[in-house]
Amino acid sequence: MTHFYRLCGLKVAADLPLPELPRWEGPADGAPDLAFRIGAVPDTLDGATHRDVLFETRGTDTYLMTLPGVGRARVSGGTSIVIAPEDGADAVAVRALMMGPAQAVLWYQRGLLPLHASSIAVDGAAVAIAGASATGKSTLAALLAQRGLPLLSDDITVVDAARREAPLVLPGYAGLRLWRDSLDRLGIAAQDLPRALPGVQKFVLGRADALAAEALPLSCVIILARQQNGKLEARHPSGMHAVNALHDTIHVRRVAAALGCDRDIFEALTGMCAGGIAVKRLIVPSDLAQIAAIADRVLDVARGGR
Amino acid sequence: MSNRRQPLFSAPPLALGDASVIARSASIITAEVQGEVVMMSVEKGRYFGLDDIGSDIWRRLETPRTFGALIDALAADYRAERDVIAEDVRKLLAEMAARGVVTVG
Repeated sequence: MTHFYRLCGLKVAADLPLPELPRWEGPADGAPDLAFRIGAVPDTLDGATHRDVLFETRGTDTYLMTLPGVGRARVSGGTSIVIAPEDGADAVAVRALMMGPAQAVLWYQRGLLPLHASSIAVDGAAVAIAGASATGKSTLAALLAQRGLPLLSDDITVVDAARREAPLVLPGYAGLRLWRDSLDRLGIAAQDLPRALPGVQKFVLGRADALAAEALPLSCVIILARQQNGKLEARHPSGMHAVNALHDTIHVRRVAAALGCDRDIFEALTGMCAGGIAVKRLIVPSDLAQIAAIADRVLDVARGGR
Repeated sequence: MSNRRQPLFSAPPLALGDASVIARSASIITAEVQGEVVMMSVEKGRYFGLDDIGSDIWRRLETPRTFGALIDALAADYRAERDVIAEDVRKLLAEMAARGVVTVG
């Protein structure tokens, strides 16, 4: 059975259910833009131009990843992801492979820029919340969504920087995979939610029907940096420092380099900084009890506060 | 010229005479961000920036120039001793050449 979804404004035909994605509600007869399939994937790429430990590439258009215990993924031409699961692979892990690295590669192949960030709509513009793993991106996005701000995307924020003066964030997917302690803090019962990965206390909170449907201009990228006993504090890098900070937020950077996207990424990032996208660093305490205060500060910074 | 920040690493000395031709390297792409020149090395994919003086020199190298002509132009604009400028710029160019930003021929 084929499932039809909407992702970044495109029509997806998927062999597997992807509950993080909103259902396609456009014309039923149009050909899909993207195919997410379960099928055969070769062990290796003929004529690979780059080989790494877990992946290989041929030019920009072909990517092969092997994730032991889960399966192999092939991403081609910016239109197709095929996954060959290993025998006994967990369905949730297969989905995570599809919606994580494979999804990011698809966007690079289409000339788009996937940031490792969640994003929300604030006053009609997109605000991306980036930061290393476990800095609280998804928890903050979930809290802000609870407060009524539309969620644009979780975990991967896809930026269309073709119009340099006005980069757009495309509406993505509603992963919102949260650890149990974050859910407790938000007052959400974990036992009602599906698990994000087998055997891990991480749960899927995202509801695809609550996602924003339209692309929005990117106004601000807030990069979270967790500090033990740190004080909540905003920093305002500019010039080279802003460009470097943004460079740290792009998804699967080594893969992007292997795909030959370095030059386009540089153009996009410097264009964003020169064009007035605000880049902010927010030092946040690691104490979850302060999550509400952090959310207040994120909104304040997003609205141009210091 | 004396207040520019310390170089990030000390580059080997560069054989530079007034007739040496300084040119932008072809393997560097650049962009201006808030008045700073930001660069990427195409081979290494690494980003780096230039300070004010480095950015100024970079802009003056839109077409290749001899070291002598570059120093003359800087001496006219910065009102400092030509020798002092030449010494500072020699160090800076050595750093830029070592990073593959400019070529010296």
